[in-house]
Amino acid sequence: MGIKFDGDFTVTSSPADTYAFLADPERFAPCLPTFKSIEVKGPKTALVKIGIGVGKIRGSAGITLELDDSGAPDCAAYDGKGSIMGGAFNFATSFKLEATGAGTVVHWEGDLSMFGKLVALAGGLIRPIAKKDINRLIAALEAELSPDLAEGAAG
Amino acid sequence: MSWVGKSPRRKEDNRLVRGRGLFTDDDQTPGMLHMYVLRSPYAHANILSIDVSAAEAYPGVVCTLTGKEVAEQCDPYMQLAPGKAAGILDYSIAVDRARHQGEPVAAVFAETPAIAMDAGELIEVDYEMLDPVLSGEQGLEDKEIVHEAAGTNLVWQDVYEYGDVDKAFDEAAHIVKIDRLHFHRFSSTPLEGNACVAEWTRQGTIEFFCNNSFAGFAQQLLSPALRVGSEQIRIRTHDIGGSFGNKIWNYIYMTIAALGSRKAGGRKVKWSEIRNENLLASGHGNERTFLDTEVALDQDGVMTALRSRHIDDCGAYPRYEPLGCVIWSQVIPACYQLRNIRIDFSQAVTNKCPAVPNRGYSRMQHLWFMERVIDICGHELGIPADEIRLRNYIRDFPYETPNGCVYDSGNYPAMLEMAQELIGWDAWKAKQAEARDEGRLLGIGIGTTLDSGTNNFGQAQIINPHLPFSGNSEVCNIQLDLDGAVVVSLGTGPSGQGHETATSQVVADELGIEPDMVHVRTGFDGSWNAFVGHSGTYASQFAVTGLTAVHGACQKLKAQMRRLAAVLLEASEDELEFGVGDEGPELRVKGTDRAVNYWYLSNIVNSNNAVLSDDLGDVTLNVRNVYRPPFEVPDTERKFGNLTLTYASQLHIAVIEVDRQTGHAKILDYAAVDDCGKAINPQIVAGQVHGATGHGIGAAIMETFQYDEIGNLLTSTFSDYVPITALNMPDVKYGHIETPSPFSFNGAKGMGEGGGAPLHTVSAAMQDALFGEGIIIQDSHHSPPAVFEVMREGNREQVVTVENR
Repeated sequence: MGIKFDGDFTVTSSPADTYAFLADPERFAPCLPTFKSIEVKGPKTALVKIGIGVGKIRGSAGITLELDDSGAPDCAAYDGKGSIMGGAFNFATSFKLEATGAGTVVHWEGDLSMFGKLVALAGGLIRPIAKKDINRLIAALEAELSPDLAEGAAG
Repeated sequence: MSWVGKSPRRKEDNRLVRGRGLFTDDDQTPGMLHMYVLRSPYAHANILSIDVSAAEAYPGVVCTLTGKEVAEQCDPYMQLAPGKAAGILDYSIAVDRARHQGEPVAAVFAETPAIAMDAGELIEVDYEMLDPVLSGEQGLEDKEIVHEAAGTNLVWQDVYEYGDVDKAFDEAAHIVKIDRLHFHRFSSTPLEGNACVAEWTRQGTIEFFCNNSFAGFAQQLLSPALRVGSEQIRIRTHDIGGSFGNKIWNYIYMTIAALGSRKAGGRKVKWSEIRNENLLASGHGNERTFLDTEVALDQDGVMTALRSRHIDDCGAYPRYEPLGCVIWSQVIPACYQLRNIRIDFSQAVTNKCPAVPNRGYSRMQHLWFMERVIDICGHELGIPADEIRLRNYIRDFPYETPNGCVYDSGNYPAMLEMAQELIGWDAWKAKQAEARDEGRLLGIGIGTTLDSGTNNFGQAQIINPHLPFSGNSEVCNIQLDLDGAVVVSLGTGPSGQGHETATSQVVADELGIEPDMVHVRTGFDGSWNAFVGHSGTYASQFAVTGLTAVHGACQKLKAQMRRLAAVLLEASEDELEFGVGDEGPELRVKGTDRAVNYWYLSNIVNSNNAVLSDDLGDVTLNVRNVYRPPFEVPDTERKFGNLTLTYASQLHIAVIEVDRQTGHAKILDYAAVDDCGKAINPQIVAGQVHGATGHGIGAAIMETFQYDEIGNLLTSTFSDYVPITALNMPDVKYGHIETPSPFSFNGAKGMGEGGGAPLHTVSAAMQDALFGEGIIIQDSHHSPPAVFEVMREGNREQVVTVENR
């Protein structure tokens, strides 16, 4: 099952700060929904544990996350792959940055492929759940990269 | 009294319905290990590394097995295809690349099934995903190569051409061109999944208790792959809960279990497939695409020539499948008098589950195609469905087809007449007219088909002249046991067909006794029962090969019994008759009370033989008979020869209404007429017809293996595959005619596969319902979404063109 996403959002952080955040797996990974832990394996590689599942089919998945910084400082990208309960998933995501006023417009793309038992068992439920999780990721990134807005909203 | 032609109760049912059967999973030997197979989630991926350390450290795990170890300890399985495809390296576990979702990548052997499964999840496999090949057409492009050792995805290609095709097209009154037709993937969902118990003994022998349905073939594949002599392998089966051909291939798991047993120090290893595994990876029926079809017809709608291009998608490993490239040609003109044919046939590997023989194997796909062809021609030319068939049916038998096959007997017009009467053809026609006036989509479809039984394995040489297979054979051993009981063993391994009952009926007739007096040993046993290289249950051949072997064995036994009894009774052999007396089965002097029973005969030979004279020294009352059908090796250059011994036929009619709003097809009425020649047990025949009808209706309307764009099988559970149940079955109006085969000893023809008649029939009824909406039925599967989609767009103009001259 292949799912493609894209979109853009605007943050108040500068492009340099935004890139620094997105290109740091230790800062980026906690924004993943159901994030559990991260183990840095190298300057560009980390093993991230997240919770994953549909309905009562639940478990944890390990994701090998690899930063592609070849587009720095205008683009941060990650390739990832993981496995869960007789299944596997691969994804590629990129964040292209465009300066705007005092902040940054982030044009993002995601390509998720899921394989195996989870797809067979959960079938058509996966697409909307994946979409929801992507929205949560983007919302988390927006919050981290627009701290002043987040504080304002909180205040 | 003759038992053949009657329906005594099935002998095997007594134990099966009481839970006294013996299936593979019933083996509960204390101390045996259990095997779990870890499978690839990817359709196509390189295996970069496998780490089994966590699994091996898991309490209760004895050992694991990876593809690397298999490659070190085994040779690849023999390939049937010639040329580059012969270079395909097929191991039981993927070595460095997974080629279909569900392919084994490792195995765990543990004290319990649960421990094995839990430990399996601890195995870490690092994959590198590759682009998958997901159709035969894509495969032939060779952009992505499934087997790098072969260098191409093409398994086999050649042209079958007979008659003068171009001349017939030049002279045609009408030419109908059909752009594309497609026969979908489905399978058989037997009640019992694949299973095996393997024990690599300290003596170096390998004992298998399993449910393989073609054990003679499996033994020939296992022996070289495991690098052991054939005599070191003993394969044993007992009850098998359905096979439909699917279980021919499960030697893959027998290999893994055997290697696991050896690694575990000789402990028995059991593996029982779960349903998800069965659907995902146990073998699918082959999928075929028919391209660029052109049909020449005369002014009366008689087909005079056909040319077409066919592509088989055999999945990731060809295994038995190259034979599918020729087996369809057993029925090349279907039931029609077509003499000029050119079919370009190709087979390609893809990244889908390997295709395996499946009820109606390879012929069903072609017969569906031929039925679509005649049906579409009828609609396009305005000739009613029954009329165009009657104009084209073969009528004189035996009939030699353009490729040298000999249809033994049949009467298709009589079957059509009976089916029309059963269903009430005229009344349904009237109702159809009324329904159409109301805007309802009601269709009436006919499917005529063949079940060719008893293969000539020489056809394998049309695919690969170097293959050491030809002819066919089956064996029967019959003996009088120490107490005079009649004991029969067969090479066939039944999987629900009632072999014990049918065998008992034949033996009872030959010996003048009752079926209950005959003891038939169930299952295949490479050590203790009779078998030959062709032994097994496949290709609708038991009634012919199996029972002819039984019949011949009876003749041999009777000859010995006569010689012995003649001496004991001081009579000539001609004066003796077989029957049942006060002391059981006996031979007696006709018209007298002088008789000798079977116990006495057996006792003389086995326990009291000092009284035997020298000239009776060869009387053992234990005889083996091998039946070999009269086949010749076909002309492999011309692709010409008799490929099958008998041709049962089936004619079905369905009435279907399609919901205009949803595309849902509802069967309103259904008739099935069968001709398998002499029916040995009419109740078993009726059961087979009903089973095959359910199987085909399920395949036509409900069951399909649907893959997504990256090779995930989306229908790998019963929730999604949705096998047919009694609740979905229409009441089947069943009829039977008998045109005895001149080629079998009692006129019987093999009939278990059923020729896929419901697939042809449902497609024809759908066509009849939707032709007026501008729709051509192109696919053998009719899910509501797919039907709805085609109803929304219409496709007739894109799919069919008609040239009238």
